[in-house]
Amino acid sequence: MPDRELPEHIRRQLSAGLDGGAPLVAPLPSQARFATLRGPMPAPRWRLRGLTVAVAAAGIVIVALAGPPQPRQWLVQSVNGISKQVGLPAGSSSPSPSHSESTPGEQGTSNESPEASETPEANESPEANESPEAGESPGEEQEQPDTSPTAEPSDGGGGGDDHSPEPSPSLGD
Amino acid sequence: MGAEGEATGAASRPGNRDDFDRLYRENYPRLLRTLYAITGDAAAAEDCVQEAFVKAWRAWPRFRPERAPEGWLHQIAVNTAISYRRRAKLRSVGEILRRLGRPGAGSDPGDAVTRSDVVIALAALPPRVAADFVLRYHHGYNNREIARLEGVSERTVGARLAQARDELSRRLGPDWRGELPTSGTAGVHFPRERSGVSDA
Repeated sequence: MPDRELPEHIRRQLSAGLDGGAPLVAPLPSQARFATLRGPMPAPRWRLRGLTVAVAAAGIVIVALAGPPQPRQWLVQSVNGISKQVGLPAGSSSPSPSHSESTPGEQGTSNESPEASETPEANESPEANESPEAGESPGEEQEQPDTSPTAEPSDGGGGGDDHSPEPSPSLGD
Repeated sequence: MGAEGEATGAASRPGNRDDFDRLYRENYPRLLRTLYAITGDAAAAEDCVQEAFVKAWRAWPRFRPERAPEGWLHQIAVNTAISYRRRAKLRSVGEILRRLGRPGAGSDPGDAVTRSDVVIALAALPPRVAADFVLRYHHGYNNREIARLEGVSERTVGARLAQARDELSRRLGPDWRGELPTSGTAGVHFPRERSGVSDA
């Protein structure tokens, strides 16, 4: 579909309005406003910024991977210091990092483990009996007090009623 | 293509200063006229064209050569003029609010001297409508070339031109409605016939 055309006198009127109102004084490209920005092009600025970021990132990676392991040394030194304060030799403690990194409060609770023999509860354990005849089970000891570790073997089996066995700490309860 | 701003067909290398200078020389007249029709102010049009070339120069290294540089510059310039008109409208609203209660200052007498009725009527059109009208009837582009320049469909260009003719015929007279250039009716005016989208 053809578009409408303006009559010739209307075209002249349009051209007169546009040309007369805005006389065409085109400045030279060297006089244009953009010519004042011609020093550095934007692209090199972008490249410079990208290059700076790339160099910085590479430096961080190199320091992180190839530099001295400062955080690990600090960790080993601090663990050794803590173990010395507790009194354990540095090599005797468990090599597991969980033990070496435990706080002194946690180490106090580890002293209350069943391996300590002072607590009464620990004496009730079979490991608390130190006699070589302690191969019998604890249940048998409670049912047969004569066979307590404190009884002399030379007394014979019938003398058990004459003297009451010494109340050993394990039978006191 | 139009008489002004005709593309030479030379390849435009992004970031190349000589190519950008050539684009400036070739497109400046067309852009100045187009933006004058949008803004209605010669000084503002020149300022917008210069600002558009500043924006284009900053984006010139990232320009994609597969696109026509004339259309790229046209888009930048029209967008700059649209921003100018928006700011001018806000300024005028601010002026009206400031002058509330005071006697009216009237219009600038300089405007009456320099601005013709045609330019005032063109500046009252929507910016892209005014731009298409100037490209079509002043610079001599056809609808297909305008559509390619702006990246829109020919139908859109036709609708804009019809809208411009309607508005201008209401303001300036029925001759601005135009005539159909058919061979049998060449030179015959159809001033009262309404033109629509189908004209495209």
